Amino acid sequence: MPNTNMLESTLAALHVLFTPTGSMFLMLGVVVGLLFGCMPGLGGTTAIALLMPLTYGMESNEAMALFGGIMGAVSAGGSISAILINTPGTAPNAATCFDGYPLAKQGKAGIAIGAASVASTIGGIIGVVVLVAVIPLLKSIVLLFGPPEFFMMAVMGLTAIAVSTGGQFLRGLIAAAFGLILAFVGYDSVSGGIRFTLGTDYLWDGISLVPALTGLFAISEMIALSVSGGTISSEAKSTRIVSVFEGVRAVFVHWKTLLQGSVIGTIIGAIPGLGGTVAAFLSYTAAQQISKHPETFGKGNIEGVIGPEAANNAKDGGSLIPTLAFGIPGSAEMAVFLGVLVLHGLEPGPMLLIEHQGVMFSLILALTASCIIATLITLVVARYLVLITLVDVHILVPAVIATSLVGVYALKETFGDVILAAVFGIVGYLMIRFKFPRVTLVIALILGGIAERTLHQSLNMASGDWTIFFTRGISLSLVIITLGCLTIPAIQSLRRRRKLEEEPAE
Amino acid sequence: MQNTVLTSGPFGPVLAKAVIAAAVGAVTMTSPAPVRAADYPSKNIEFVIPFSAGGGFDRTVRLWSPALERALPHKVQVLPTNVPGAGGRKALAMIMRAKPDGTKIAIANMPGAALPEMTGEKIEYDLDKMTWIARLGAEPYMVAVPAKSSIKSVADLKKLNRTIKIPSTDYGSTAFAAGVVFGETMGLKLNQLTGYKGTNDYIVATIRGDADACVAPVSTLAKFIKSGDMRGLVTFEDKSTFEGVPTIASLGHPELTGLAVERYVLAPPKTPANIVKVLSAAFAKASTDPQLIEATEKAKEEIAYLDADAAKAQAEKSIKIYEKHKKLMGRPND
Repeated sequence: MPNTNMLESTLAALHVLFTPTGSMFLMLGVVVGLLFGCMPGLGGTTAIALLMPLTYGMESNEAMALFGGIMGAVSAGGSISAILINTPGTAPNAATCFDGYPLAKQGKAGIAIGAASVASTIGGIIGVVVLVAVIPLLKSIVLLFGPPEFFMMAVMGLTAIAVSTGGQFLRGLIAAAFGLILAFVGYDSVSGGIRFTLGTDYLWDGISLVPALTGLFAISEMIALSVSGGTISSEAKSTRIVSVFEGVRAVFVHWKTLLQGSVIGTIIGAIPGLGGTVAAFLSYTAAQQISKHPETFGKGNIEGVIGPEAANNAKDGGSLIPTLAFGIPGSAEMAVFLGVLVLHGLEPGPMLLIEHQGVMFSLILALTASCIIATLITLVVARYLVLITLVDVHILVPAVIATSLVGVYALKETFGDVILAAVFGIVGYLMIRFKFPRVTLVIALILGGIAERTLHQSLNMASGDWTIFFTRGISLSLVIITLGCLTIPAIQSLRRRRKLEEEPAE
Repeated sequence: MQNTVLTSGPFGPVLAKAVIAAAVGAVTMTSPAPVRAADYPSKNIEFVIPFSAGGGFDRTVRLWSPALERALPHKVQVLPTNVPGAGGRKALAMIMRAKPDGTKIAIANMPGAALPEMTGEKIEYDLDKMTWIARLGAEPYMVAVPAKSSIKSVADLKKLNRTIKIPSTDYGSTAFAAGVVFGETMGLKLNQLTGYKGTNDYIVATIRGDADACVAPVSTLAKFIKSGDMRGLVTFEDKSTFEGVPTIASLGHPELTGLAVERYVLAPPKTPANIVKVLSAAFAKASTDPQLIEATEKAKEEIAYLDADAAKAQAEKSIKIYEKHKKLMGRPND
């Protein structure tokens, strides 16, 4: 695409954003995104789905400002509840809980929020920058990834489980196995059969992810909180604005984690089907691996907040790659967003960027602006948000549970979702009690279905020939990386043990 | 000893209250008020799409919904609702069990929806019992190959002398069935690669080289042909939209002309006659709506409206074409 054309489109899009109505819709989108993001059970997909009919008749550029605003702000909102009440506002924020919440308990919530917000912004911007940079290559990138590559990515993600069990290897694997079983529930489009649906057709589409994750992380945490009682944080140290800036500074100190998270987020976002949750978890695991103090992860290491938050925003830019290239949604929000495009007469497909470049650039610009504005808003209100950690759980718990369940119902107006969330809430609480990591279950649940489907697809394509995974360049590279992921930690621990043995005893 | 789950205390009552409150809230939202048939429509109408957003059926419903709203006698909203799952069967099962009060209608993929029954599967809906409202469109199929493929004609496909790989979403889809019909008629052995998430996905898969050729609606393929990624091989239209693409009739098989994915509107069984009348009239009026015509033209979709009785008759006719090949319609990967 000629550069002057792109420049024209960017300027035109900027022009729209700076009009009163354009910026009004952008701000509305940001606020809605933040609110829907921080309330567990709601999220980007619900926000887009609910607002979609209201935009009928709106000018396309203004609609893009609205939805770009929503998409850029959702995971920033979600990080707030992840840090303050250990309850991810949206699934991709689940990884932020692991170190964000311990920080909140230590009275350092302000630092965590500051770091999360700025990491989100920069991650989001990097994602968009990469997107724009690869616009001439969009189609080629999407065409590089077929079922064998998807399968290897899923396997790579599943090996992240092995590394993320945090010391409870056997329990982690059991939880992962359970997650895989859950992943296979439902209709299998490769063989055309319905499995494990317990005779109801609610489960035909498999276990619905949002209700399951809401239950597993949000409701279970509320149950745990109400059992322990009291308040989340015992001190009000971090309500001072200074600590928020300390968090901001931490992001730049740990720029390597930030960069790594952003790159992982963009790449995972660009691969349809994986989504922000996988991006965030992979980024968390990767951050732990490059950290100088990996053993402090899970106890309040700020890098464990920076990595995932950068990733779950970078994925927005990345997920536009297959969406703009061929009309294949790169994430759940994109899938719903396709409906918005159709509503406005913009047909998703390879001609979208060619025929409606201006409108698409409005979206990209709105997304970028939203990342920045959402962070500014969060930073400003951070010191007040932190007060939530001082609220008594008897008030907090019922409010959060009720909001979560209502939000889960709002998704598809199916009561089955509410029951699913409640069931997973109990399951999640039991996992907390008996120290089974929930991360591994989640990763297995998300990736299991993708892995099975793409495995069958790959073998069909190759007429049963297993070497297909090794004869394609990218697939082979992924095999090597996966093997590396599995063996490097073992080698590292061996090396560490050897070093300890060499040091003279104290 | 710390508080455990089993001890009473702050845990029990607080949690119970919260769950009950949430449950009551959710239940009150689900209980619908009964509606008198004479005032129809008085509540919003859910127009259910059995597939996920972005595809052809989704597009059709979203294009028609505003026109339907304008055509209905009372002001209500027509809400496009995606209920994907089980190759479209989930949504149809839902309609089968829904209340026959005209608040839920669905768009159905024909003859795809009839395939499971045709191949002897036990399904959760009965097309004969459902209330037929209208046919909105018929999108003829086309066979296409990647633009850079060395295959230039159907004869080239035959010359390959091997199994031809054709992708589709799943074995219950009309595209899958059309592929079977095409393959059998032309004497090609097919390897059907199912499992793709949507039509766009499997067209891209064909461009990528996962498959040799694909069968898809002309309107969906149009944008990939316009972008230079795909090239038409043969079309099942009466007259070819794209220059240089032969019709199936010109290749000696006129009986396959009209092989198409048809979009029908269905309502729950036992829907009262006056509700059907209002809906049918509204769809008929919507089909002449100038804004709809303009929008469908822009989307390269054709309006092929048929009223309730004509729709049911046409559906039965289409099913018959596929029934001839039903031996090969079963699950591909047993």
